[in-house]
Amino acid sequence: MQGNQAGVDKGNLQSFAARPYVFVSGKGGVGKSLVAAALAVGATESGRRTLLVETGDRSYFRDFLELSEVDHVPRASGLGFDLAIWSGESCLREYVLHLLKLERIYKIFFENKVMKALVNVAPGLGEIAILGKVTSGIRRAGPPLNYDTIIVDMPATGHALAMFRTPKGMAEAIQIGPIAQHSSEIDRLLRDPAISGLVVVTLLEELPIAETEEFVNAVKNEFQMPIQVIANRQLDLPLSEVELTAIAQLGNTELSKYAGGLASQLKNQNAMIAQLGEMQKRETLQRPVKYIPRFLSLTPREMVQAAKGALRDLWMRS
Amino acid sequence: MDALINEHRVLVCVGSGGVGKTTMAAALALRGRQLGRRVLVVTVDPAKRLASALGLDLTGVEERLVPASEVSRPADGSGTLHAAVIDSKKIFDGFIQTHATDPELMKRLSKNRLYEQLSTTLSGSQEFTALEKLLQAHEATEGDHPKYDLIILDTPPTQHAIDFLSAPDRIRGLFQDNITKWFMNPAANSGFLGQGIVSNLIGRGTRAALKSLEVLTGARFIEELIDFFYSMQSIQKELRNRSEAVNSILKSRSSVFVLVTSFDVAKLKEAQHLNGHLKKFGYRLGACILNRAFPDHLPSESEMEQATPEVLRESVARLREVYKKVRADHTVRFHQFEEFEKHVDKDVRVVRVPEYRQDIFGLDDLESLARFLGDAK
Repeated sequence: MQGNQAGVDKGNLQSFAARPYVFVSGKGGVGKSLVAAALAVGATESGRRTLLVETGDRSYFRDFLELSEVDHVPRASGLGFDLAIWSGESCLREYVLHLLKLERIYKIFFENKVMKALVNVAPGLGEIAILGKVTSGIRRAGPPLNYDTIIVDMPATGHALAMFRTPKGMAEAIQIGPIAQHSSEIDRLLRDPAISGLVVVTLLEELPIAETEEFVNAVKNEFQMPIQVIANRQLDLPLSEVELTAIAQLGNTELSKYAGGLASQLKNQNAMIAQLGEMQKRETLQRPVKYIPRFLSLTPREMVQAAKGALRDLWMRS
Repeated sequence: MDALINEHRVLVCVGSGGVGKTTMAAALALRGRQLGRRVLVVTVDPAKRLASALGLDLTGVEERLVPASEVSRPADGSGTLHAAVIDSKKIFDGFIQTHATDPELMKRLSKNRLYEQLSTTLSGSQEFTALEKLLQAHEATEGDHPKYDLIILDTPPTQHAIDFLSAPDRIRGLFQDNITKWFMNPAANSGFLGQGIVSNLIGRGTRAALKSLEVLTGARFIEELIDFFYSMQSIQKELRNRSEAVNSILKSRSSVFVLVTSFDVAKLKEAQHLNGHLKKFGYRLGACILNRAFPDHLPSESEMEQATPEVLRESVARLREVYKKVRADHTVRFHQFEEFEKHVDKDVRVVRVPEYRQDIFGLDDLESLARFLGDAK
């Protein structure tokens, strides 16, 4: 654990979201993409050239931000940062083309069904390709990628953890050859707290909090990545639980029932906040949790801006 | 939804992660029992409390009988519910053991570094095993009749609902004849592209492509890959048979897909197009469950105008402000919902499940959610 401690201190010297690589994960449905976009806007506004990367085959932001196209090649998002979607296949394709430089062989490679199947079965190759692409700038491997910060909208926690583990696993399994060499370089960058940071998004509900704790512990045990937890959709009321309970006790009216409902929601939420507080006390979490309120009646772009406001200090130098 | 439950033998719940898919699958299964059917629900990675509500063993692949109370099934005592959790690794290992023709190859496979990943982390492996489990349950008999007359399959979370169906193809695609036959000669060491190892049947194009793969990955990687394919060949035929069998079940009139989704602009767009995508492959979307779509109860504006004692007047004023914002948001969302309903295929039932104030965990909560779903038009 001592190694961890030193790593975190080193990581604290700079603002959280100003690292070269910020990975965003969390349980499914908690709002990872919204947080990733908010971080990208913030990083852009603090003067960093920022790329937001989606992983997978289908873009969420295309519908969310109503863009005409989201592709492997970064494009302007309309919010200041660039946006791209990277899949194992698209990253591998680009890398092969870069390495082989021969259009003809590249075509054979990817238009060949047999080859496609091989690439699919080669476990971890897709993950390596994506993480390799993300880290290609610092490693000076592949085509140039000129961004100060790359924010990666990762898959949900389980898959994200598997992805972080791939480079080391691959390096150990293969040991020699170009893939092995790339893998250990990628792994080193993931473990450098000044370079890679992890944002874990949660809701103030039991299951996402439990998953967050599990994920944070696993990442802390295996990597030195500084971790920032962000709680999304916090019910932010101008009334206290006590006030709501008092109104709830007025009688058997709709108004009272409404207040009662809110009071119990607030109570549950406070219990969850207390649980996060405990995690901080136990030093499972080394940074104070940031909260994003639950937004009502906002368009997606307005939501991104509002979330950015709530996370303001993540890209200020501490 | 009762008609949908009564008229089908297989319900496949699809959707992205965190939308409450497993909870809905469990509730639909309970509804099946309430209607007197012999139900199996197969879930992936259920939350601990949901698992314990169903009496599930999280470590095994065994099917457990979920205890029934009087109210949970028809008065004649018909209706049973079994539940099982998918353990990808166990199902995959079991599959290999059942179908492998050559014990020597099986041993070799278990030592292969890539096999471990195939059965656990490789994308598509969970989907593959979920469908294998479905097929097993579909074939299971008790006496002279099928053991289950309703199978509800919860699927691994995918980024997009449609991915569930394409994922197993990735696994199946690997074991097509034309791929495995390259690796028939086990004398694989280095020099993958040398004589003998790669059959003469492959064309020059493939040879060049393989050469570039070797350049990229290194000879060691290729060795593992060759060994892997070579060891897999003995189950290749069975793998294909099984996937054809499960596909014909999914495409039959007795199977239907149920999309579970959150109420989010991007997700609604996806839901609108899902049926079209499914149809292209010969599948059917029967229902779309919008989870946590609206608060379970919202008073009317006049109900909020009730007189309050002096001491609380100021607090109540703030409460009314909160209410107004929630009400306005509700109006916007309701409009989005109406637009969605207008554009979704007519033969797809759309069900809105409210956002309950309390999480649904206990069996009682699930039973009432089951009734709600059953009654939903």
